[in-house]
Amino acid sequence: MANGTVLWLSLDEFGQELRSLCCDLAPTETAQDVLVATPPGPGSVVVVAASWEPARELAAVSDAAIANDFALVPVVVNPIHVRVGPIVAGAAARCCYHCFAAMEQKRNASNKIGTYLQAVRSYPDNSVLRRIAGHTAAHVCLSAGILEVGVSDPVGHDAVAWYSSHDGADLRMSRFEGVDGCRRCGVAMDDRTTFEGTSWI
Amino acid sequence: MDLSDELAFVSRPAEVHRNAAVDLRFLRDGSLVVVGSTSSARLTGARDELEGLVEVWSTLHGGTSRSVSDRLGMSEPDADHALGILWQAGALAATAQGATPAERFWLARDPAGDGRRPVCRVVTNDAVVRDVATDCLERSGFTVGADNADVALWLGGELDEPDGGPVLLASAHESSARIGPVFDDSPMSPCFRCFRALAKDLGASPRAASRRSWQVTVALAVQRLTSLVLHYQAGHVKNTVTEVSLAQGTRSVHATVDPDCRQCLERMGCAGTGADDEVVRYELGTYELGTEAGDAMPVGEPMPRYRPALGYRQEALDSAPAGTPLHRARLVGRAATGANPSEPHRRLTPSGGDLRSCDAFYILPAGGTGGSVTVGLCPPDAAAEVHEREVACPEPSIKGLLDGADAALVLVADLRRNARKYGSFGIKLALLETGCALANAAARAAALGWHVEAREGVHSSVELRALLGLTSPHEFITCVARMRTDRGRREVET
Repeated sequence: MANGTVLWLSLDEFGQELRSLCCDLAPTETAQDVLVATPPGPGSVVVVAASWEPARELAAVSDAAIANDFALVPVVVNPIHVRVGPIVAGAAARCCYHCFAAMEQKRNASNKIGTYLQAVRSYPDNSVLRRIAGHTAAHVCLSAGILEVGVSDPVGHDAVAWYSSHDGADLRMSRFEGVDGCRRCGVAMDDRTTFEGTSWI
Repeated sequence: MDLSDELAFVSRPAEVHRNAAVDLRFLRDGSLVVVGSTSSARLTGARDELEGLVEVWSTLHGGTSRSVSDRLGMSEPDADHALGILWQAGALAATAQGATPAERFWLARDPAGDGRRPVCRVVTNDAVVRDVATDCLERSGFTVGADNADVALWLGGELDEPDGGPVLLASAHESSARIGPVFDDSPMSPCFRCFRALAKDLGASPRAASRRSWQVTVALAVQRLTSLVLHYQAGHVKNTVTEVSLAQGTRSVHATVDPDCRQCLERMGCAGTGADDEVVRYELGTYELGTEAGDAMPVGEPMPRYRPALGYRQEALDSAPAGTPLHRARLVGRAATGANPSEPHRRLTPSGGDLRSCDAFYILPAGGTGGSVTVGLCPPDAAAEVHEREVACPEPSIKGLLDGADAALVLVADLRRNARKYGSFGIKLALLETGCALANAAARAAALGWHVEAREGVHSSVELRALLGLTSPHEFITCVARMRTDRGRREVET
């Protein structure tokens, strides 16, 4: 169980509903500016919930989580599926949000649904189209159940993301790794980082 | 809400959605124009939704619309993209209308809907579970009621005969949830007796799980109910039992009818052959067998029929004089399983997954007195030898098979080799392998002056299985062919 506080960054109605359903976690609402300016201490967990892909927000909070050693658990409802994760378990995290985005983009390029998802993500930040997918109580309940697992043991579920598509009753779990090209996560994994004293990256 | 910027953005579908089958153009005057559709079978149903979507958009904005029905024939049909765009456009229309998130979700996926939400009946014995289900269903766009229910959700309760409509079974367990199967009146659905037997196997007391477990279970069930109501992938998930575990992900099995249920066998047209037909038996037995079929035989272990106990002895391929029927039959049998005479280590056609599920047998008169026959077995590997045995006094049905023919070719698939890796899909791969083997045999036989004529259907019989020495229920006869001298070719040669 996380030994710190559980902070909540609800970016829309979905986040608010999810937070109200997870009141047994004693979540404290916060704002992104406050979160980045005065980050919580080690052991804390920050949940970012939205019914769209808040790429910029997640990237910023992910960087703050690694720098200040707190955990990040994103919950996102995409037009295609519900996703909980990838969990960034603080300073020792296996991969950051940038690695996840790069890896998922590579994965999505090979399937049609993913291509559509990437297209939605490529919309401008202020686009209405990014926030129109809608959600139901089923998505909230499902996210709450998965979220409990992630929040209770973020270190044990580091770099894990759960997916559940809207049109089935399946649940898929993926574990991500750092990618080459990421200064933080890729460097530590790659022996090619030193070649005659110079870095490849 | 000013959507003018959005309209310009969406009107670039060629860049955003490559290979899109449907191109929606939102014009600045508020109209929506659908510029393409497809003749793809998957999108046949979506065409109605498209037209419904256009109507919705037109109603909201008073703009003009064009029907999609006269714009068929786009290349590269892509239903996923099309549905994605449909969702997007429907949700956009709902957003402009100020809809709630749940309304947006439904309108995005059911743009042609008339506003009536599906009625769901909840069946459970536990009040807490009922509260969880009712709350989740109502806030997800369903109307909970007992009358005129479109669908029903059975949550681990006592099962009574339903009075119509698809029924989804769901149960929560301590660390997992089980969703499915669906009971309805479709021909391939299990009958209520089979359904109840499955429910008993799956069954858990409602109180065995926590409230949170039930929330997750109901949420997953509602997602599947939504899919059923909207007919998205309904056929795909209908008879699937999905076990969801946060720690281990999803495991799905296909729920089939009870092999002892005569009612279902008759309904599926298997009543006459159900007890004896290996294919039907395997299909029906998949669910019961589970992983047993895959674990029963380690990889690399030879089949029992290769053992000397059955009387087969190894013979070198060229131990029979060239040109004799026996030598020809050996060559054809070896070719059927893929052996290439010029390059024994290479197959003429690749075997799916290199699993080599198909063996070839040849049967021909032994030449001696007493009417005995020689049965040869060609293993699906590169060994340049065959296994043969002589069987005396064959049954009349075997004599009939050889009557007027020089030899018979029998192809036998061992389902365990495929099922170990592919489950019930392995049967399709085995049949595909049979087709390749028969084509190989026909090509080789033609070069030797034989004509191969395959018999329609599968003529499996107890006598033939005994003759070949088939002892395992997982190996079944997929093809019986007769080989005779090609008269046309002989006339040309003479």
